[in-house]
Amino acid sequence: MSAILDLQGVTKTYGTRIKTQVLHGIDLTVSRGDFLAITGQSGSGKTTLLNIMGLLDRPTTGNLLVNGTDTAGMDDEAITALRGRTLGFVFQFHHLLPALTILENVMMPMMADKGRETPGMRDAATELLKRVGLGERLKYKPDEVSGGQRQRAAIARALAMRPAVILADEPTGNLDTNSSAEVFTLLREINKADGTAFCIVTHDAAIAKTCDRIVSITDGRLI
Amino acid sequence: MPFSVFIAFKYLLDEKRQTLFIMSACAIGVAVMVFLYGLISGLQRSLVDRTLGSQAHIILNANKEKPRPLAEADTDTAVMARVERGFDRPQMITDWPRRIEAVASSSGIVAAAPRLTGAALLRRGDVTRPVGVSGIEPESFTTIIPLAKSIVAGRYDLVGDEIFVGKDLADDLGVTVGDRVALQTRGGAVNFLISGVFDLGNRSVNENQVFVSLRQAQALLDAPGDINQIDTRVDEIFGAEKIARRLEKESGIETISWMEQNSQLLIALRSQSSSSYLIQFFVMVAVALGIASVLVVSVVQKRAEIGIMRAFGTKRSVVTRIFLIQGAVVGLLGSTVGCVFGTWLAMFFRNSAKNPDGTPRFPISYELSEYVVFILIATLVGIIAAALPARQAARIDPAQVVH
Repeated sequence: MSAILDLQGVTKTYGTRIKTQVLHGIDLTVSRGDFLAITGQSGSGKTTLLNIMGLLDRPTTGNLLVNGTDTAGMDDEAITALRGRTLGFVFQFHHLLPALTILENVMMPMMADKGRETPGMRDAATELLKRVGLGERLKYKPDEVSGGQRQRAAIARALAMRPAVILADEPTGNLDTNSSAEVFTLLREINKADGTAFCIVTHDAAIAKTCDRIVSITDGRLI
Repeated sequence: MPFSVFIAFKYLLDEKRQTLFIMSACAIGVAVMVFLYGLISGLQRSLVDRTLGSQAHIILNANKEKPRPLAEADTDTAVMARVERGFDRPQMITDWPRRIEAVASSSGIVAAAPRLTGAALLRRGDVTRPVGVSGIEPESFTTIIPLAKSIVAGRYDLVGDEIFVGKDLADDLGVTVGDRVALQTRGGAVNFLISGVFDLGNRSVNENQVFVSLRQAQALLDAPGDINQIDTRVDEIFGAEKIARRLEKESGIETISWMEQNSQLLIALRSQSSSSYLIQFFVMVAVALGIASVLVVSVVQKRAEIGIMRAFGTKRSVVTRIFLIQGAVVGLLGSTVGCVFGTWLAMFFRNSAKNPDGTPRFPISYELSEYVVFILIATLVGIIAAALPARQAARIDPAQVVH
């Protein structure tokens, strides 16, 4: 199966005078249907790796191929468009826009892509929210629903552009046990139903164990 | 609706108090500008109207006789000469009906009228006053200077030996409509019947000027069939000087505009306008700083939200537009409210202070085009003020602000 994300010898160094190398020669592939856990201690480089995989940051050396295309020569506009169409994000904190309703939050990536609301966009977002169990909360603002519901809305937003890969950084880190289990079950269902690949950064060993593949990172190296 | 406009309006509506605050700052700034403009232009217009109420916009004066030496110097003869200026011999404008027609049809001129001026002594019993005599055609003259409207007693008509005298001169001499006065020139004295008393709002003119028919003036001043002045009115009063120079070139007649005659007044008006513009400029700078500072804070507060939008495919240019649109909307709506408030304030000011005759002590003057200019300026200022925060927002690195 061809890789959606293909990291080849990726390194990342911060600083100009005092240089700190955070990632050392990372080789990793993510293919359709993957359900991958990335684990590691705080400061091990998990978030940096996720940023590079999510086209939010660029490697210092090495290559990142998205659907076989090297991203090294792309300008910011091309990277932004590629990121918007290929990748979805779920963060530890939901980061829904408080000024927008739940429905508008889910429509946001589609509107950003097309530049405006187009016919069918609202229906597609409604369907996604129904799928994550928020069909009755379309007009609510993020601060009017529970933490678990916000995170489910964030998952619906991540699915808005039908991405090939969803990168989730501690998606259940801010939730109670019940909500955490609900959200994780939802991610698994989506993975199974749509074949969407998931890369989940987690501290939770129990969650990691339920994933199909576990990648551990220590001092910027995959082990 | 474009995505950038959608998000900009969502932000403005979500932060109602903040939006209201910057819009109020903008509205107050524009209200000050509108108020100042209305007041200063009203005062200036009133001053100019009062000045031009007794004066033609452009006067074409018969060329003065130039003094010349009695003997001319040549290559063989040197002449030591002391050229003395002779007494002011009245020169006349030749072929004046044709010239008036040409002047009246010239671009920028809306009316032209003949006039014969000279000096005389006005006698009433034992009292004598030096006066300037103007021979006019009442119908054409009133299109230049609103003399018909300025008649406070009698009627606006000059038939036969009738004369108009100024209100202050009439008071001084104790005469009124129906009384007789005599005008004394070198050629003798002629009796006139006062048919009207005028008040041109200028004490000097009211005291020293009398009007008779052109035909009577020609007889009195020994200039049969002649005139020595063409008075004109222009469509754009502040363009009078330019038109005057053109007319002088075209006609070969010495021409003087009201702007040249009142150069000190114009300097004062320009200084007043300059200080008004300076105040307006600094008010707009203060408004811009207000908008910018609120939007800078807004960008800082929304760093994570901007980062999320960027992560989900929003381009930097769209983020920039979101904040520029907010600046523009604040400028547009704030200035619209400011125009209404400023006008209300000016009208309140006008109605609260009146002269004894009921006219406003502070005349206010507005033109619709000025409102458009104010709104455009404020909108532009809003966009400029938002440029820095917008740039700041566009540079937010999503990797640094989300997770």
